[in-house]
Amino acid sequence: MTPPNDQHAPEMHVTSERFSENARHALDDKVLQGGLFIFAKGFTALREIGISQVPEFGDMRDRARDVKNHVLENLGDYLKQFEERVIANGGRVHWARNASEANEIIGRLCAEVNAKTVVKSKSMVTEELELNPHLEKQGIEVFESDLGEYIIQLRKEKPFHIVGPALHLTKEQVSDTFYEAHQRYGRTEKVTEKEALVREARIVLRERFKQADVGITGANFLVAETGSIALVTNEGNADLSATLPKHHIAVTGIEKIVPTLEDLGLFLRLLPRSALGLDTANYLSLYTGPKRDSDPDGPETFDIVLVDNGRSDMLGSEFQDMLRCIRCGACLNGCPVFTSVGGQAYGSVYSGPMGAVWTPALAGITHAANLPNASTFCGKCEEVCPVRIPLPNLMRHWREREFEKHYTPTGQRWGMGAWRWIAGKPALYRLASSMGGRVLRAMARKGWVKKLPGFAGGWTEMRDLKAPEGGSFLEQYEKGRRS
Amino acid sequence: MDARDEILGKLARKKHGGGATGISGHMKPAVAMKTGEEMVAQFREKAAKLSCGLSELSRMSEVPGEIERVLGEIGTMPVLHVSDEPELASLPWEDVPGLRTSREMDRDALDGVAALSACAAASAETGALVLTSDADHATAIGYLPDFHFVLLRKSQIVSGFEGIWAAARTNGGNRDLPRAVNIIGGPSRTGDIEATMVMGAHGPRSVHILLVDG
Repeated sequence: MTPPNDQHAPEMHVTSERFSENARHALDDKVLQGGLFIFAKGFTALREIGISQVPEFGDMRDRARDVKNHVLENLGDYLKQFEERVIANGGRVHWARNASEANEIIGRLCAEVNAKTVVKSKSMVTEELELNPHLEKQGIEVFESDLGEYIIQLRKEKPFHIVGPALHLTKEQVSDTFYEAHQRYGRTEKVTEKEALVREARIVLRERFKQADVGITGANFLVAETGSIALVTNEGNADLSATLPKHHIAVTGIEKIVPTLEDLGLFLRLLPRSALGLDTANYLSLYTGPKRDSDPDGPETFDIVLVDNGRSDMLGSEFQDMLRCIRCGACLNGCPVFTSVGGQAYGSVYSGPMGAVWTPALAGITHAANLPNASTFCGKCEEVCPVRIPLPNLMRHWREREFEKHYTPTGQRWGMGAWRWIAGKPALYRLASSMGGRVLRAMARKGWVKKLPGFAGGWTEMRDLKAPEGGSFLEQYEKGRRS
Repeated sequence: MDARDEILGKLARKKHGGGATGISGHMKPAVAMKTGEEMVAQFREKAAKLSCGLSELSRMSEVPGEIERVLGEIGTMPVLHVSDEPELASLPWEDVPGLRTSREMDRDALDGVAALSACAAASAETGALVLTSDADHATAIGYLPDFHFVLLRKSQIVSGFEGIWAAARTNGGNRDLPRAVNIIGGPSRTGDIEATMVMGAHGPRSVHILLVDG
């Protein structure tokens, strides 16, 4: 979408080219499959129970879609209003066209206050930017404080799920990771139980909160009328990050804006229910500007970094609807592909159906062509989306673009090209499909084809093909049999 | 061109002409519209669902004794850090000589202790408490202690988010909000290891509400 060689073009590093290979490994990984079961069955059931108690849920989703559409149509105006309110409250706003620019700004803000350590709460945007390695290169020590993010940071992994970043791991794996990482704090006893692991992370991270020079958070929402950021967590780590260090930097995408507090209420009603079926998250917080003169605590500076990184390119394109996303993870939990292969297989911070649309927009379709194809088009993602994003349609748009640009494998292109040619010629199509049926029936033993010839053999490697019965659809239609 | 101008310029060029989606009106679910005793009853039920402790008291003067009793059940917790809100200072602390109180609010003093604060409101929609920062209220009191007691008057309970915003704005001077508005839905928890809920992640392991008539 952006001209190549543009120094401010969107940037996101992905390894999505390896999707098929990763997916194969994931399917063989028994531990991972156990974790995926939790998402597929547990989270989906929680969501259904949660929303069944709010009869207005469907209407709220319609309204949320309309509010977001209204914001996207007036995005610049709301961002300017937000900026004005932030400044009036004593904060600062920084604008970043892409990842490099955002990292540079955040790095500079940290350098200005001579920061040695940074404590962070979970932010998918900073994962998108690969902010941590950038700050580490500057000699700054960075501590993730959301328990899941902390675990994957220690293990040098990418988040598994936008809501539960470490849910692919067992407590034994977490135990090993902590045992190794916490020796430096004098914690030499190996703990194995979940409660003890949580307690140990709490003790270690509590000191990091108290000592950090800068706290970096994301923002789930930006409120234009008040210039506030809204943070949603269950652990309370975002609030400690926004309160104890002398400096608070919030990093988020330009699309996260809502006009008023009333609108924010609507989204706070949708987000925890869509994510985990909860009435509310444990901590819903608004932060508006730095510490006031009379406040006993709070940061001295309050900086907001608004990141574009491809979002303005999506606006006005066929992918605009994706900008409504509130990162609840419901589409991941409902997706038969995500719940079979897990987040890591996608090779992107954003996985599942939302990731399959979002990733190509940020990383380029050349690097992420596999993702919009990793879909059964069952429609579950659209069915559960709290802001009614037509995800299957958006994936289809990427497939079309990909086909136009010739990024699909030659075999697939040849096959689709041949189908298109023959489908445009009805008489020939009927002949070919009726012959195909007869050939398959001839190859079958007891109604099943065990092995197909040529490149179609891939399909029968793992399963058999049921031989067609009773002629082609058109043959049956002509005979008047519609059963 | 700098980043701000370039981004805003791009957004302006892409702005749709005329047909912007209107968003007049507002939408409130029934769960956020309870009033009177029904609202208070729903608050009790929702707060319990969030794993909050709750003591119902008819007079403010019963607060110190009730805190001493609850702390006694938990075990030894000899000092209670009391936030600077005036309604807390005026409580009859002399009635509970066994419970020492402290007004220290710095990060090391609050770490892992028992503390008491007032609040700005509570929501019957979810059972959550609303704490707002001001000269008398340090934000950290809701996060660093292990045991957080919150004094709530029945008249402070609101129906839902709409009431929370109204309460928060009043405290910050009508239009503007205070620096921090924390809507706290029970003790801190995490499900990040094997999706099992464990209480006491980064914030308090226990949130106990002292609901006083009036």
